[in-house]
Parts: sequence; C-alpha cells; structure tokens
Amino acid sequence: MSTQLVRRTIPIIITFLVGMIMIGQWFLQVASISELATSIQQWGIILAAFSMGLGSVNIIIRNVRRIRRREGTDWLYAIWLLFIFFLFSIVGIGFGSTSPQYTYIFNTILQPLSGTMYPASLFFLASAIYRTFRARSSQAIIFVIVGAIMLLANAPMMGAFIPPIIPLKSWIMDVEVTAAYRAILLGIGLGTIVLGFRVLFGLETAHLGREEAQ
Amino acid sequence: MDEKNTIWHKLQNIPREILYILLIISMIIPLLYPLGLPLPISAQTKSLYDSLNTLKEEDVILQFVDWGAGSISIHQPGCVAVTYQAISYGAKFVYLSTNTEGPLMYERMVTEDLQSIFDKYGYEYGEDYVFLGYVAGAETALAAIASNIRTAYSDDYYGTPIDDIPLMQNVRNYADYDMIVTYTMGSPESFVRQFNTQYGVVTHVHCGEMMTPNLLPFWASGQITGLLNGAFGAAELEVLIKRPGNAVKLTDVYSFSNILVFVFLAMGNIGFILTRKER
Repeated sequence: MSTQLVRRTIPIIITFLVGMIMIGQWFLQVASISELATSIQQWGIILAAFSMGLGSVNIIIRNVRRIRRREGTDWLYAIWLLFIFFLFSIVGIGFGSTSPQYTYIFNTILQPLSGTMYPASLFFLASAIYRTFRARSSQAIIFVIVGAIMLLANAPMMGAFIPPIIPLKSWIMDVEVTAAYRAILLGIGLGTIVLGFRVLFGLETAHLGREEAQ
Repeated sequence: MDEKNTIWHKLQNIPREILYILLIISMIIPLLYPLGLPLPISAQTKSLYDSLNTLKEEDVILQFVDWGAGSISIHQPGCVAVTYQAISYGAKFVYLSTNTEGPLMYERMVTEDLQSIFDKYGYEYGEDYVFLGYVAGAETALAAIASNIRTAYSDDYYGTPIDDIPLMQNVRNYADYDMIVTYTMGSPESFVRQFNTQYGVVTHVHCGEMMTPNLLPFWASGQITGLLNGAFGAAELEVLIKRPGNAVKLTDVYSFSNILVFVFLAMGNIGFILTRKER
C-alpha cells in the first residue's frame, strides 16, 4: 500500500465514517447505528485512558533526556518532577488510591501547592490592576469605570452601603456582558460547524498530526 | 520640590510589597472578626435554589465533583449546600468525576461535611448515594454517561459492580437523571451540550468567578438553570438554605480585599490625572 493511502486516505475515511455514525445516531433513530455509536463512545473513553498512560511514558522519556543532557538551567526540576511522579505512582499502585498513604501524600504535597497557586494569582492581579488600569484614553476610562464598579459590587459591604451598585452590576453582567459573549459563542458555534464539515470531508487534516498531509 | 517627586507621582508608584502586605492584612482581619454583612442574592443563585425546591423523593441528581485542590474553598461549600437542600426533599445522589483529582476531593468532602448530613438523614451508601469515581474521556465520557452510564462505568469507586448497587438499578441514562450539577474551574459548556441541549436534563453549574461571563448566555437562554458564581454563589446558596458556612465567611474577605484594590485603583488614577499636564 502506498504511503499516501495509509497516512492520509484511510484515516480520512475512518474519520468520515465515525463522524457520520455519530451524526446519524442523533438524527436517525436506528437501533444498529445507536449501538455502533455507543461502542465508539466506549472506544473513546478507553483511548482517553490509554492516552494518559502514553502521556506518562512521554513525561518520563522527555525528562530523563533533559537530565542526561543537562538541558538549560532547570534540569534539576526534571529530577524533582520524576521523583514526585514515581512517588505518587508507587504509592498509588502499591497501596491503592483510596489508601491512607496516598491520601496523606496528596493532602501534604499536592493540595497545599494547588491551594497556593490559585490565591497567589490574586496578588499579581491586584498589582496589575493598580499599575495598568489608567484613564489614558476614552476607551480606557470606560474600562476603568466598569472595573471599579465590578470591584465594588463584588464586595458585599459596598452592596450594603451603596445599594444601587448591585442592580448596576446586574445590568452590566446581564445585558452588556451577555450580549458580547452571545456574539462570541455564536461565532464559535458557526466556526465549529464549518471546521466539523472540513474534518469530515478531509479538507482539514491537522488532526492526523502531520502538516504535510494537507 | 522635585517635579517628579510630588505626592501625585508617588500615588502612581506605591511599591507592590506595600499592596501585598495590605492585602494580607485585609484578608486576615475579617477572618478573625467576621462582620456578617447582608449578602445580596443573585438571580442565577435563586434559580438554582428554586430548582432544588422542586425536587421530589427518589429524584436522582448527578453531581460532578470536578474541582481540584486549588478551588476547594469555592466548590466544596457549594456542593455541600446543594446536597443539604436536596436531601431534605429525599433526593438520591450519584457523585462522579471527570477530573483526576475528583475522587480525593469527594472523600475529603464526605469526611469533613457530608457524612454528618448523610447520618442525620439516615442515608446509606449504595442505597441513597453512590460515588462512581473518575472517568477519562472528557466530553466523550459525558456523552456516554448521558446515553448509557454503564458504557462509562462498570463499577463504583470502591470496586462494587454497578449492577450490584441498589441505587443504580433504576439509573441508566438521561431519562433517569432529574438534574445534574457540575462543579468546575474549567469550561462546563460540554455538560450543557451533552445533557441539556441533547436531552433537556436540568443542568446547574457552579463555576469559578472568571467563567461566569462565558456562561451567562447559557443561563439567559435557559440551557443552564442555576448558576453559582464562585465563592459568592456558594455563599448566597448557604444564606438561602439558612445554613451559613465556610463560603459566607469568605465574603467578608472579598469585601475588604476588593475595596482595598479599588482604593489603590482610585489613587493611581487620581495621581495619573493630576500629573497629565506634565506629559
């Protein structure tokens, strides 16, 4: 078989057939198509689980390579990454993910770190708001005013002292923000339909993982 | 006085360390001395509350424990509040997760909050609530759960075959789900697509604050029935069910820190406007 057939034509045919089965399942109430669609969904779940394993192997290979080559100045982090990776894997597989040992390392390592990352962004955001929100132009003035209203309206204390700020915030969110996002969502929806058809008919081949396939 | 060293210039260049220290203080003080100020209830939270009040005995709620360790303080109070209100109507719960951290978040929530609620109402694992664990596959998995939950799960998180769980005997697909609630910091549009748009299942979302603007069009169109806006949404629901908890405590922190940032924003702009002629 030619390379073109194996690398391009067969994957495009598979994509087309799978796509048509999934669309057909929704529009045609045919039992055999529904069963086929259910099987494809199961394959999808199995493949997703498999890809997580594949991703793990990829992490090991890439980081071992970085450590060997002493790449950059942060290869020491690769050692730490692999240490934590194997620690969680060994404890999780050895004792089970519901075991007190696994829960302990999760509660003492991952949880505090994750819990710190999100709130830490608050400090950077506060600093960024202070330094960059300046009334430099007419558009920037609107930006600053709306930002200030949202800051105050999201402080329940101000809602108690300045009650009109709550309906003002609701108006901004329900009318201005909703209208803007609705337009964005419609654009995304139309774009997704077009992209879907392009993929089904083999006009878009980026999902095959090779640019030359186009 | 140096022209570039006036008070108006200084207002624009306060060292960030000072802002950080003041922010930390503004968070600690309300935690030590809560003000307990009234909390305005948003229409989105009220929708969820009203929807929970329509539940009947034996109704089944799918609760997606999709938050991670970074948003425990936001989502755990929300999930506990929803469970507390729904349990008073005799609803049954199927907990599941599409986030790898979900199982540990669920176990933490049960230990800290839910077990006492389940005990109070005499709820038994397997009979009245169940945890199915994590499933990979993102939206594909959601589609499978909506069309036939057995294609996504063959057993629960603790290894019991799904067909041996009494609660799951009558729970098979979208027709058996009276509502779903997803708690996530990510993008919950896939839940809307797979459960509400396809099958009309009542869909509630508890998202992070930054996701709320994206989801308002779905709420306005009725595709999302109830929308909890981060910690505020959870606090509002706690107030509505008359069970103030950890989320309500956080609202004073928001008040102080938001007002502080507003003060800095105002100072920076006053300084900027009053020195504009120099530029």
